[in-house]
Order: sequence, then C-alpha cells, then structure tokens
Amino acid sequence: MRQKPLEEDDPFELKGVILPAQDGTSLREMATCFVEEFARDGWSDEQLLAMFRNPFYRGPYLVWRAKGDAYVDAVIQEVRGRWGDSGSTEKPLSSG
Amino acid sequence: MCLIQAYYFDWVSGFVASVPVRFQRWVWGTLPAPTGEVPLPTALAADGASEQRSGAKIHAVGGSSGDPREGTRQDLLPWINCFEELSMSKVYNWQLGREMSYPYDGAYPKRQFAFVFNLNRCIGCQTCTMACKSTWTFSKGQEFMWWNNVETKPYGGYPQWWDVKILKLLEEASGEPQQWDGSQRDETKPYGVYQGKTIFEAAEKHIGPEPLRVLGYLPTDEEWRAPNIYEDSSTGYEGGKLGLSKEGASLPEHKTWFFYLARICNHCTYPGCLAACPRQAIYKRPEDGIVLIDQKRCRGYRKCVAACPYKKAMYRPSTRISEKCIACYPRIEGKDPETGGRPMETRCMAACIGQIRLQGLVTMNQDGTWAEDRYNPIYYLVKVAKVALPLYPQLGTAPNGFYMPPRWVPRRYLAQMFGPGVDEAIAKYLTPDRELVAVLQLFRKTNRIIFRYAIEEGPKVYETEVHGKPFTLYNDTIIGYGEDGQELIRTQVEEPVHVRPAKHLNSI
Repeated sequence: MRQKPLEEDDPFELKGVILPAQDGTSLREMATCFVEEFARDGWSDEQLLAMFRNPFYRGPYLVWRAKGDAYVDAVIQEVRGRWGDSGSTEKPLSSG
Repeated sequence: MCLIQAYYFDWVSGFVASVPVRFQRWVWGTLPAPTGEVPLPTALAADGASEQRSGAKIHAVGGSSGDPREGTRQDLLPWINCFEELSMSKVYNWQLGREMSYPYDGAYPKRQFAFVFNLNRCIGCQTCTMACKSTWTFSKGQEFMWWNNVETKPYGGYPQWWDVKILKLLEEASGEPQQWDGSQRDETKPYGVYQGKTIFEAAEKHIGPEPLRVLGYLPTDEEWRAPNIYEDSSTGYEGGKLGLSKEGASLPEHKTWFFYLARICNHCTYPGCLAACPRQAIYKRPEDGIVLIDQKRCRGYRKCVAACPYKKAMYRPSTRISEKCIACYPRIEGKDPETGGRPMETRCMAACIGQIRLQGLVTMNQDGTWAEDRYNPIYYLVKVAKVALPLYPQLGTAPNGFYMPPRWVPRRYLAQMFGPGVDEAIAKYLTPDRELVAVLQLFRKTNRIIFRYAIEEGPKVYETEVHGKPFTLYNDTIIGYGEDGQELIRTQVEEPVHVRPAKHLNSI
C-alpha cells in the first residue's frame, strides 16, 4: 500500500515518539541472549550460526546481516566460555 | 449519581432493546437546566433507529425516587440531565494493587486461561501467526485479521501505533503521567500501587455528547493492513510498472535495539471489549475465563474494537460483525481427539519454533485474585519467581498474558510496557535459581496443558559465574502433570539432543 507524504499541519499525523537510545551494546546483548537461550538447549556452534544466517529467523538474521560471521562466532565462543559446554551432548537417534 | 435502566421500543420494527445506560441524576437547583437533546445511545443510533424515524419511546427507571417514567426524550429532559458521566462498580485489580472502576460488578471464572511468553527467545519467525491464521482466519473477510501477531518493538505494531495511541489518549484524558508507588509492594501487590488512571477511570471523567465506558479509539483501515507494518513488508516505494522496483525492495535493518512482541488476546479479567459492548454480546466463560463474542448477538457496532486497548477485537466486513481470538477453546476443552479428552494448548503455543510459549489454566479466588497453586508453572513464573509480567498493566484490564521482558532493552521503555517489576524480573532471569532453570525446561515440551510440576534433584554439573553472580547448574529432572494427575512430560535440565539422520531429515 502506498504511503502519502507527511503533512506537517495534519492534526492526525503521528509525527514521532521519543525512544530511549542505546549504543551498539544492545545489539550485542541481544545476540548474546539468543545464543545463550539456544546454546543452553544444547545447540551446536554450527546450528547457532545457521540460525543467524537464516533470513526467516529475523531477529538473529538482522544481527548477522549487520555484523557478519566473525562477530556472531565471537559471541558464541564468549557464551560457551561463560556457561561451559552446557547440554551439547549430541547423539544420533537410533534408526528404525 | 444513580443507575437508570432504559428501554427503547422501535415502533417500526417492534424491536425492544434493553440498554444499560447510566445517567447522571438530575438534581434541581444544583446543576444548570438541561439544554439541547438527550442523544440516543450509540447502539440504537448505529442501528439506524433514530427517534424521528421510528418514534422511539424511552422508558427510564431511576431518578431520585427510583420511579419508572416513560415518554419521548423531550418529556424526560427535565428529569435526566445527559449522558455525560457514568457511575461504575468498584472491582479489585491485583496487578494495580488497588480497587478500580469497572462498568460491571466483578465476576470471576473458576479457572483462568493464562500464558507466559519469554521474549528473550522470540526470533520473529511468525510461525505462531500462521498457525492461528491457517486455523481460524483464512476465510473471506478475514484477510486483514491476525488474532495472533508478532510485532517488532518499538517500530512495528498491529494495528499500527496501537500502544502509542492508547497511552497518549490515557495520558491526555487523565491529565497525569502513569506513576506507580513501589513503596507499597508486597505479596498481594507485586508491582506496588498504580497511582494513575485506567482506561475505565479515564472514561468516567469523559465529557462529551455520548457516554463512554472505556477510553479507546477505532483504528483506521490503513492501520490494520499488516501484522507487522514496515517490518515484514517493504516500505515507501511508489511507481514503476506493477508497482515493482527494479532495484528490489529491502526490509529495514535496525542499528539500535529492538525486540519481537508476540501477542494474542489477553482474555483479561476485566475486559475492555466486554465492558463496551452495547449488546452484551461479549462474555467471559465461567469455566476457563476465555472471552468470547456471541456471534448471534453481535451487531457489529465495533465498540469492542474501539475499547480493547490491545486491539484484539476485530471487525469482519463480510459478515458485519466482530470476531476475536477464541483461545482455541475446543483444544482447551480437550475436544481434540489427539489428547483423549485432556486439555491441550492453543495452536499458536504448540507451533512455537523458539519455544518461547507456555500456556496454562490458573485457579481463581472469588475476589478475582489467583488462588495459591505453588506448583502450577504459570503461577510459579508470575507469582513466585516474578519473572513474567503483564503487558501494559496500567491500562487496567488485568490481562492474563505475561511476558519475560527482553533483557537488552532500555529499562525505562520496559517499565512503561510491563510495569515496575521489570528490574527484578530481569535480574532473576539473568541468574536463574535451581527451580527456575528446571521450570524453563517445560516450555514447549508437550502440547498438553501442565497443571502441576515436580522436580527430582539431580547431580551438580558445574559451577560458574554468570553476569557477576555465582551460578551452579544441576541436572535436575522436571516432571509435568496433567489435570488428572497423570504424567505428561519428564525432561532434564541437561537433556541430550537427538539429531535426526540425514536420510530421514524431513520424516514426520
């Protein structure tokens, strides 16, 4: 749907809302949070990175688009260091 | 002030409507003499029944003596003043820590549908949105209807700007900012006492041509057009053949903070939609507190759409009546054959990829507070651990959806959205204790409703320091039980991950 240009004197136009701002630390904190959540569920580094690269998972994907592989990997390693190798004991399902 | 029940008779259709309208009593000598006309209630005006056309007569009971009187509006003018001010009942709202005004007396279900969403985990995949859409709102006239939506805060919203608009209206109407008194915080008042006005109390102060039971507004069609406007849809491009851009369109990428807010109807304890309905077509089920619109009684006046502060009542133009989230009540009732008669969580909960959702039924006291049920996971998260908080509690509807606030977002923004419990909730979540770690494992481990949990202690896995505090991980086992006490799920904190072999990757 097309958007009409802003008209300053339109009394019904919502012009803007003041939001508290934060620097880049909030983006890192969000990335850290996603990694922690899923690492504690037992996800491997590869699975975590794949989530960040997947455009259908928009939160992680926006971080990855903005910062790239190295940044995400650094966050994953930081979390691994903090929480230990929690829950990453993978074993294949027995076939059949 | 007094309550007057007014009956309207439409001489053309023979239709009789009982409209509970609360008048301000006319007291001779203390108020200026009424001038102008007493307007018809909006219900009848919207119905196309005007006094001139139908010759409607008003039968009003009340006044100083409680006598019934009948006549045209002109006859009754000396007797009643106008619809300016409403008198409301007083009900107790535990989320506000105080009594508040509500158009009806308090009436509470035996059990209440409630849910907890962990916003720290939501990755905005919209699977819940599509699970709901494909179950309930896939028909003609429901194209713009999303009972479940996920919006990117603080940028997106469905309908657009819904929360900014209602907060602004509330602040303008009450003439004061929304303040909480945290000094009175205790077990019965977990967030302190709300000092400002709710949407019902702001409506009491309303002065205008017609009465207002709930402060609200009707969003425009444009505001309803997408479940996450500008966030999941490209913006701003005009022109080009077929309206397409040669360069392609891109979605916004935020350089600062944002988070995903998943929303459904909160099935409030004091619903704004129910309070506003002129037909009394909206009701709260006594067995589970689910709020429903009676599709036969609803006549599409859209008062509920305007009154719901969360904007979760929606108008369907093809049927000309309103619809809303029904909390998948056949599943809650255990009608799904899969569960063998046991209560089952809603579609949006069961579909959650990020495992952010847990839904349950909490036991209610007669006064509208929650009965103590220490090992109900919802009760534990909201009342004991206090890591899950209501969405905009200051609006006053006592919503039954609770959120674990995202920890990276500025606290002032979160405090406005979830009330004064934010700091405590985030601190608790960042360094969870042994019980909280175990209860968090219950999220999305089963699609049956868990009524009680138990924890079997396991061995210590390791000690570490997390966010500056010591933390010890134990491999405890947590067991979820159903309504009948039968075990539904048993899982461990250190649950092993099973990887499906490549050749069976998509097997069901």
